Amino acid sequence: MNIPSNPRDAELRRSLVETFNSAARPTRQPWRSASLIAALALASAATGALSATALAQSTPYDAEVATSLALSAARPNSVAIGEPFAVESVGTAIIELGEVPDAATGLAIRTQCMQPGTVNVTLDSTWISSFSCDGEGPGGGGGAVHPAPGPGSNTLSFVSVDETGFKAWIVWVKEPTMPQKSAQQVSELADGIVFRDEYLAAFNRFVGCMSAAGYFVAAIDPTALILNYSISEDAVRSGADELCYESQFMGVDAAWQTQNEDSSETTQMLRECLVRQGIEPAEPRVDIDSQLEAAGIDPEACLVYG
Amino acid sequence: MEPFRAERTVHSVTVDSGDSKDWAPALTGNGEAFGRIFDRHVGQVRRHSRRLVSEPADAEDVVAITFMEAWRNRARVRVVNDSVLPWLLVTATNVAHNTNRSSRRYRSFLASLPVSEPAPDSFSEHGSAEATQALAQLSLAHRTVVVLCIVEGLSEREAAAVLAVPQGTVKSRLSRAKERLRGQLTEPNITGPFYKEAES
Repeated sequence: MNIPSNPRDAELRRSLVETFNSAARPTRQPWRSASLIAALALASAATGALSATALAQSTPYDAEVATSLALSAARPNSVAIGEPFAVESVGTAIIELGEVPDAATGLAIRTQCMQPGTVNVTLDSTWISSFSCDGEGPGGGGGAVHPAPGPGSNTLSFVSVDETGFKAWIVWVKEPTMPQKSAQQVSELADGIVFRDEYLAAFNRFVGCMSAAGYFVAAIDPTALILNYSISEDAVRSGADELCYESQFMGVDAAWQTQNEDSSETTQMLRECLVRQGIEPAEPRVDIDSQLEAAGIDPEACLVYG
Repeated sequence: MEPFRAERTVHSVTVDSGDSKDWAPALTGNGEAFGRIFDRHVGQVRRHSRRLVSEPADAEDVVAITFMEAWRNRARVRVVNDSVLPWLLVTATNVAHNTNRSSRRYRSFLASLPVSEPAPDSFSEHGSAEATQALAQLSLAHRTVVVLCIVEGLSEREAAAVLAVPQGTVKSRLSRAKERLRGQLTEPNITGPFYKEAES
């Protein structure tokens, strides 16, 4: 075995290791995620009927672990407030949260699938989200932070459509203030159209910001229409990604992807996925997401490499 | 005399290199697993690259791009006989064939890497200049089978698996490549350090 002995090989190796580490985190395609969530939500809401409600069994999770899991659904540098809640249930579960603690800005909810099915999540009887579990065992689920409700006692319900097995971890959180867009990014967005040079300039500012924070942006193809890149989990956890992305690139990136969305690599992979199933892909991106959902195809499975 | 049969003890591919056990975790986000693959093969990819391009600095870029291509094309990487090396060698050959286009894709990444120390002359270290030049005269398809089957000592079956072509295609390409090389190389160089005559 040849252990790198020169600085170039050592740096190349470090970059490769970091690049492959980022495989655990999908490359950024923000509008794909948003549209998928919307599609899932609509599909779940449409299913309608609810199974009989049964109180969930409280599970004696370690509070620290439960807090950590719930916080993983929140933005970097969010702070947990109060004790976490943990639930493991087959079928519907109801959790009495009590009042919103002082300083809490939201409720972080992390879910994990255990058995197939769909769960609608309501806060004080108002639908806030849904998640679906396929039949491939534990691993699915999701997470999000929902705005803190008003005064008074609060009830969180996981309403199972079909005796879905799941775990959930919940905690009140105080999230940091969102970073402001830089003056350059505001200027680039001012006329409502993003040009290629503006897109590249914003991306380069993002890379520079990340580099200044000590993080590497990997696998850049500067010739691609939609720049595809990866960053490490550490960069996300530290908040550097959010700060750099929001302040330098997010608005421009979103506008550019919207202008060119159907030619992105991700969209192409989803299209190919549909074709393999004998389905002619629709033209607008949002329709592709709907087609995948209707066909029962997990979009993430379409994006798996190797 | 059969001048182009491989001297496997010099440039044989290390089979059972254990890449399979590292490649799978690398694909799911274990960077250190790919780091071990890099450690195992960077030397051989570098030696191979130096045969393909004349400037040592260009060879270093070929090495870096080859491994980055393993990331970009990770869905298509072929592990043959528990080794990613054949795929890396083919990729390095392709990268060297069109260095400009490949470099453009990774321009910013290459610029971020430290400059290498001055390297020994690739010809004197790794083989005759004439043999290297003869290799460069071949088409990409012919050069690739020569590298895999003659320089690196893969069987035709293994090369076919790497290239995703029928074994017969490898056999015919290899035959034609040998003919062309015979026409380009003078006999003394045939037995040089690059192409060694097989022991009879």
